[in-house]
Amino acid sequence: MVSIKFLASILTYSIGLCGLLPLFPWLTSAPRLALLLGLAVGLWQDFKGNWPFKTWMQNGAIVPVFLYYAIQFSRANPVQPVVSILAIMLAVRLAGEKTVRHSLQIQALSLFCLASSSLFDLSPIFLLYLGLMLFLVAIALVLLTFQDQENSMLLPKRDLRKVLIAGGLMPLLSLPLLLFFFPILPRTQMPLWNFLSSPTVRTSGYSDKVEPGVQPNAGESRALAFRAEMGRQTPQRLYWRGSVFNTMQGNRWVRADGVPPEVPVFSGPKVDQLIYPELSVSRVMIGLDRPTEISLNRLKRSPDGVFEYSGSLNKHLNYRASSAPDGLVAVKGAINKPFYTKLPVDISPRITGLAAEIVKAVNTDREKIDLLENYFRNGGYRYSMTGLPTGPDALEQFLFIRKQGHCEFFASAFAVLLRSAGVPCRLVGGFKGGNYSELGGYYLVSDDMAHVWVEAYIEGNGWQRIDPSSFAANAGEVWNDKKSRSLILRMKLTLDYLNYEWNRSVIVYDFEQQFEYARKAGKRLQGINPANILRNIFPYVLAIALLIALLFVVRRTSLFNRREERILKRFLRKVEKEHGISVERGELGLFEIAERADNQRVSEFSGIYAGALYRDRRLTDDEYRRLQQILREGF
Amino acid sequence: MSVTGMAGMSNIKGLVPSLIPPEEIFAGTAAPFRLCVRNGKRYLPSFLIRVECQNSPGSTFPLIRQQTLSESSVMLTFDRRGQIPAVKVTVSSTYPVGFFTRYWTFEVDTLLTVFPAPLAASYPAGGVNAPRTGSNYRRERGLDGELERIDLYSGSEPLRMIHWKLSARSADFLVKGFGSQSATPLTINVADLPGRGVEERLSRAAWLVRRWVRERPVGLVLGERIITAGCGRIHGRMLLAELALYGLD
Repeated sequence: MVSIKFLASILTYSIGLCGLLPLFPWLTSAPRLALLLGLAVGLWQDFKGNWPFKTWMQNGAIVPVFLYYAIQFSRANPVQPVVSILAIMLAVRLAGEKTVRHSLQIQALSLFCLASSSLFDLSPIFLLYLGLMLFLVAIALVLLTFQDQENSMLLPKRDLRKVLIAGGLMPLLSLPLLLFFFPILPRTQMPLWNFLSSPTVRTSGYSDKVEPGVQPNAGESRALAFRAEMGRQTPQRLYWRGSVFNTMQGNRWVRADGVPPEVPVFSGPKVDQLIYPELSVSRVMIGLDRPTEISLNRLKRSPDGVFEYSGSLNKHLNYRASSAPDGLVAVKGAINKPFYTKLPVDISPRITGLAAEIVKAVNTDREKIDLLENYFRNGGYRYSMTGLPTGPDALEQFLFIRKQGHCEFFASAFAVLLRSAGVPCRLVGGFKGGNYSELGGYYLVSDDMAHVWVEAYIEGNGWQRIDPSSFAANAGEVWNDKKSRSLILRMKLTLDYLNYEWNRSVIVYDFEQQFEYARKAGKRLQGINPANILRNIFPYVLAIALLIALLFVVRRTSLFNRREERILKRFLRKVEKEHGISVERGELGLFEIAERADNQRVSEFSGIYAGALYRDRRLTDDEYRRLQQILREGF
Repeated sequence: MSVTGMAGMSNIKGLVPSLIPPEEIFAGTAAPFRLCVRNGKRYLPSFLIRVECQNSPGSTFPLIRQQTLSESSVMLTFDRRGQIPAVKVTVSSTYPVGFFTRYWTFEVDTLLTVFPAPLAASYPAGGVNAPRTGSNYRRERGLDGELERIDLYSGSEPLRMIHWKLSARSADFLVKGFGSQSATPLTINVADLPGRGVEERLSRAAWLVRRWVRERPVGLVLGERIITAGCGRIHGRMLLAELALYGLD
């Protein structure tokens, strides 16, 4: 025999853990300590079967804690007090006796804790915890219903198994309903508790300025920046355009407000992408270089191909982008050459001297670019994230002394040399590369792929993408395509695919998408052809029918009653009809029926049937035939 | 919600309660009934079934497997004598999650006869062996009854009464003492019984029937109806049923 209360307690603790674990890392020390203490005290008391920590003490203990956190609550700090009080309330309930009422409260608090953990991080792990919790809650609710009827109820193991199976089946049965209702139930345009959430945003990745020489080592975060759903592209095309830095101030490149007007002319095939950026503080929307169109409301488009979003950054976005990926964009009319060749007055004469030296023999922009490229390729420059030049003369150090740096040094130095040589140019910040997930059909781009390159204007051609980092002596090692095929990376991509599906189908599934799907479904229904459908599903129907027929033939005996049972049923029906003797199964023996019926044929049937039944053997064929004959002829 | 609703519905579906009464039920006295619930469902068991009849505290069945019968006992009390054609039985369950209680009410056919509540009585005109209050010894002796005791020979007993086998082993003669097989019939005239009103007199008659029917023939005079004296439990129940239904038609 197993105690229902004991089992319900175990489940209650498990549910508590499901709510606590995801929230625990985000809590401050006090609630963390309370939780550990509450768990320990609860377990100890349950183990002893004695609960000195009474309910009134628990409730009394919560009041001052509640007041303390209520005072701390403010618009600037709304989340932490709320989750702290939730966690402490859960800790207090876990510490006490697990009555039915308290167990239900623990379940509710655990669910709130789990839900509040999503204010900090909404990853697929949340779904895992939620699924597990709902499963456990379903079983626990069933057991608590039993406990509620009788606190000390004991059940035999065999019965308990049935109870648990039935309890576990309920959430499984509700899954299809959940999948059915999730897409069609009305959704709000904004998440309901958005007011509480201060989004956890990335601050790494590319920034709003390029400033080589600030730090000796560059940090590399592998956090996800965005995903781009699209076909596979050649590595040369994988430049993701973010911002453009058009002005040099001192040692840094910034984006000046007055971007000179120009009219780009895009030719060649376009590449469409569906971009899912992670939450970020940046308002710049990324697209494959160079984006010709990004479909998103509240978007400001600049002539230099930068798209800035002016809406709320609190929610996950997704948008479509169309790009001309060839790295060359023609311009209709002229550009503002003085703007794009302007350098700070205090630029090092050594750098301008170098530029003049390199390009002295040529006149055209194209030739100047080629010579500068040659200079970089043959200059022994190395791509490195450590040992970087620092200080106000970092660029000079990079060009003449250290000769190692990351993309900002390469791009910045190349642009300065170009402008010194009179070639209009600008810096483009974004990302380079991406890991393609074959499973999901998208590129995964992380913060460590942040990159800066140069766009130079060639008269007659337009803006040409130049990546000076690729001129580094060790560029082949840095952007080695082969490393991307490692097993770990493939595993990472598979995991990311799950994350991506979660993001795409749950997180960003809002009212707009719902409306869009409904519209598409309506369109498809209009164009539906019944004949086509029939033709398509006919093979499946046929296959299922064949399978059922096969099952029918193979398992006939086990699927249907044995002939002994069938003939007995017929007999009982006939006896009821002709003699008015109604027999519930097992209530009346065969001989008793015969006695009541007082009929010779009924007696004969009973004799033959009982002869087999009570000797524990099956009817012989002769006996069976005789019984059938009796039934046919009637009594 | 829909899944738990369906589970709750199917849980109490196919349950058929039945009541098996005890042989004798007296008004105002709790009688033990066998309460059976049959789960007629083919595949699904029923969980946490609570069955309540009338004003009884009811009983709970944690699990009733499919196609089986579960039994329990309940004490039922009926206030008045007479025939009870059916008893109201409520089958309920809070399964699966205890937020709602679903129930069905059945009228279980019982055709019970509730006898009048017995009320102790002495019968004034009972013949030679009329019951008296006080001593409760049985006095009648005879020669045609069962061997009831061995006594010392007093000199007055017939010789054939001497138990020779036992006497041979002892110093005295021992005689067999037989009981009397023929007891005086007792005819209870309800109208003659003391009591305030018919109900009380019926109750006293019921007590007398219960008291004597196993020991001597008991008959009944109920108004104009006369039931000849008879012995045994079955006759006793017949008399009690007459008392139960008297004046209710």
